Amino acid sequence: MQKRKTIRKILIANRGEIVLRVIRTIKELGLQTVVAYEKLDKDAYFIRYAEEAIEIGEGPITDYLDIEKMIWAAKQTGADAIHPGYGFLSENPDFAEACEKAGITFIGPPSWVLRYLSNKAAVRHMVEHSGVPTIPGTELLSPGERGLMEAMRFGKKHDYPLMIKATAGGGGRGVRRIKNEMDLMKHLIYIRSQSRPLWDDGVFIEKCLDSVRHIEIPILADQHGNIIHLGSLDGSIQRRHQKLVEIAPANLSPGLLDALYWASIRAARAVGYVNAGSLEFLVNPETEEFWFMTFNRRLTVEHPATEELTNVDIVREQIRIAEGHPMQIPQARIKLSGKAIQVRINAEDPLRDFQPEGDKTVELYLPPGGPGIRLDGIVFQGYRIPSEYDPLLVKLTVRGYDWEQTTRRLRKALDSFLLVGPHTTIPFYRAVCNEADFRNERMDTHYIMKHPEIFQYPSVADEAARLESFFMEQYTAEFLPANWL
Amino acid sequence: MCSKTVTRKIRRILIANRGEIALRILRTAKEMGIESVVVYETPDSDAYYTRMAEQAVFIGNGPRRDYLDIDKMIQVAKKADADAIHPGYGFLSENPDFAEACEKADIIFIGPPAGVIRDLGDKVMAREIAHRSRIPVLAGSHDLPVGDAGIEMAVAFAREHGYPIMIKATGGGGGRGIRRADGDKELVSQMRRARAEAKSSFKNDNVYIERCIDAPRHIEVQILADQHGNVIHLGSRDCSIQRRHQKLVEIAPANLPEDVLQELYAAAIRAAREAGYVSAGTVEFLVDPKTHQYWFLEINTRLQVEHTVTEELVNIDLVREQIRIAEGHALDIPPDRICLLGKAIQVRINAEDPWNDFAPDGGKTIQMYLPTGGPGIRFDGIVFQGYRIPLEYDSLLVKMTARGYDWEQTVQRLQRALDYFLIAGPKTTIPFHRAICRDADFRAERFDTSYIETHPQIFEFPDPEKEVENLRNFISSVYTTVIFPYVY
Repeated sequence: MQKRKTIRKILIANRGEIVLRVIRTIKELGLQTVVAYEKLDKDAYFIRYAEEAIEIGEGPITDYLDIEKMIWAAKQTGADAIHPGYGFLSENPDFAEACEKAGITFIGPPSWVLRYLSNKAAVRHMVEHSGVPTIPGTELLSPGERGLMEAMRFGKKHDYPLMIKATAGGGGRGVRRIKNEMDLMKHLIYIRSQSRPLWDDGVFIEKCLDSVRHIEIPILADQHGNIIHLGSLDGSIQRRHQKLVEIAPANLSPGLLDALYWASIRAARAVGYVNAGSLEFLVNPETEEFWFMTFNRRLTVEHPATEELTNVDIVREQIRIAEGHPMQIPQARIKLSGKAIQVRINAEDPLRDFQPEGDKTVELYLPPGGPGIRLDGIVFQGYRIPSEYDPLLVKLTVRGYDWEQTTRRLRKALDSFLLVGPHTTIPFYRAVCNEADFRNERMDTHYIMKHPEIFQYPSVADEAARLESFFMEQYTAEFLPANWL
Repeated sequence: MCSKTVTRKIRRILIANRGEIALRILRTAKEMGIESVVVYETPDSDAYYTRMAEQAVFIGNGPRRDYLDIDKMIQVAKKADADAIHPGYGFLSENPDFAEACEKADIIFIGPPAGVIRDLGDKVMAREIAHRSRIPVLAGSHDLPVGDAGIEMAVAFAREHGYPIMIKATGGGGGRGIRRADGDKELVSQMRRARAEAKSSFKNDNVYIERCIDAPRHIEVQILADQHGNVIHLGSRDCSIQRRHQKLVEIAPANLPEDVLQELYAAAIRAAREAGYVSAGTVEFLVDPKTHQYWFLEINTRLQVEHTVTEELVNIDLVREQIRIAEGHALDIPPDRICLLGKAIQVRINAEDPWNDFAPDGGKTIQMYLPTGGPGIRFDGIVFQGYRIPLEYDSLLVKMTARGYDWEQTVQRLQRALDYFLIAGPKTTIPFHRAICRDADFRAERFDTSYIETHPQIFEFPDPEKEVENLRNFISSVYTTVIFPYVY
């Protein structure tokens, strides 16, 4: 157990909106921020809000993944803590260890916890042991022919479809869906023929569950053994295992939610978890069965939905936990009434397979306001979208009294969101809002597949023209002249 | 209590207002699938809110008088086939004649019945209603007779209760039409002025006097009442930080002991019942900061500028509730859904120069506008890059509301959002609000209505002109102090 250690200056080892998100809380706490950036980001919006910025290389991406450079940057600037954000080095046990060795507080779990949790097969073992069901699956497959035999035997016993998963995967990467035995052989041989770091640490097989929901339980754990949950999230609406819409709380029976909270806290306790984390489950709402899937050991992209629902600043709690403070939020303060939905507005064209729209400039930017609207973004009028990084522009989170009000609010916010320049995912989300199953809060992990009609909306180019005319001239359906009366 | 219990679906609302509140109302209308018709005078022809409505109707050159024209509003509503009118705040919102004209034209007025507005708009009558509801009322007079008789009565009242005393316009409210007298001589002169002012502002020269509580806190309770006799409260607000009786900072909930709050809630509900209140309303109290003794102040029969803090705290859309109540629906918010944990603070960002006695800085164009985002920040504004602020109306640009877990976090959040708020063009009240956030008493949640007078240090902030310069630099260059390259 660590001693209390006051943090004064935090280096943020990340880029884009999450940097700004973390800076906002750091500023609220009266602490200093350092941002380490690749040259391409030297004019980026998020850098301007930091007290100091330090260039670490030409990138792209490689320097944001460079542990040595990050530690160097922290030492150069006298930062006493590092916040890793999400993605990049956030769940890398070597990074956490390097911080520990350099005497820098890593704002996240201890390196040994990260190392333990990075081995998916071991985690499954532990979770099963603590009495929480996991998705039926194999151990790490043996090399060569033997591994293939193990996989086929599993397929015979549990039936297809199956999933091949990379131990080092996560966030939708390193996952392949397997329809039948032929498919299994093809994919396994292909994966093994490739020497990519993602697949090199080994793979395992899991039963593929259809028509289930993807549920997450965000938790906070301090260094003194206190663990609370922050309700639930439904991230079922996914495209190729990437979450598109996130909803808090999940629409599940209170009994089932309690079971998920209990399982999460128990699993977190079993691994000695510290800091903010999130456990992912697949849930069959009809049978009330659930299976543990993943333990995310970072701040998640979708944390704003939880924050808006619970009125808890998760980044603030992360920092306080890292300082060694005991948690001051009693479980009873976590009120879970109301709804919050987050959508990711990306510079992508959903009609062309979500192709990124890098290198374009945002010509007009006027986001919506009013009750229950939160924006986490890096966009402004004149912003040029770098093609080298992910296309996330802004996360829109809405909060409302119930599902109906929240989805109507989301729809209205998307309608009045003025963003001209790149194609964006805004019209796609609008189509989701209009879809009947979504309006009735019915969704599972095959939602996108089952609803091809959500791709039938007016072309994005028309949308841009509509928005442009909105500002060029009076947009209202009818402008009635003086002599009308 | 209104006997009307049949529900009547509203399809199209005319918003008889302008600016941010027109936008606020049409946002909710949109969410409810209701069409909005807005009206505008010439200086508002480019306004943001007109672009968001399904229909915008030009009603005259104004300024202001067309927004106050009852006949025109009714005519527009009829022609546009609107079945309801939302009056917003200010303008016609608390005018009983307007509510009555709507009723006569068979248009739903989204607010209380005309009779209730009339009763509560008469501040002497409102005091009686409070008295009947067993709410402590400050010692005061009825309407004073004109001339020497009235002055004699006032002097006698002052003898009995002691100075200072307040002279108030019977038709006033919302902090307007109030004068303070500290002695006989002042009483005579102020009374004359108060009467003249009341006549020109409220078309009613009646005045009354009231005992004056030195430096009380201004606490109000938000209520919702439906047409079926259900009345609920949505917690309290502290609006003590005022300048010349105009609220500057509004906080939900008020920092008072739970038993005091419960008493205020119960008193507010009693008063609403006694008045036969329907729709959203606010019961205002003065509270002694030390003893927590309280007195009735007035009942506001409209949606308030500061309704946002309540909405953020309790996650209930007050405009939606107003519309549903007007449609005849019964309230369906269970008591356990009203959670009053956390804090919310609203500040009004005005185009004004706080260094120059808050002189309006209209007529300027917004050169840059980049409000902040992140957790717990809400904006209700009408500003965009390129917007020219009309000189003819009030100087409110945007209301910013911060919500947080507790007082400390909410103040830190408000300060952060103010620090990151980028707006260039006019001088604004942002540096002033920033100075409040840094003041020790404010940080300790200690304030009463004398706060602005007793804290001159909050006016010690950099020249707003410099502020604009800083912002320009911020956006045109990288702002950070050190940039080391890694030797790679």
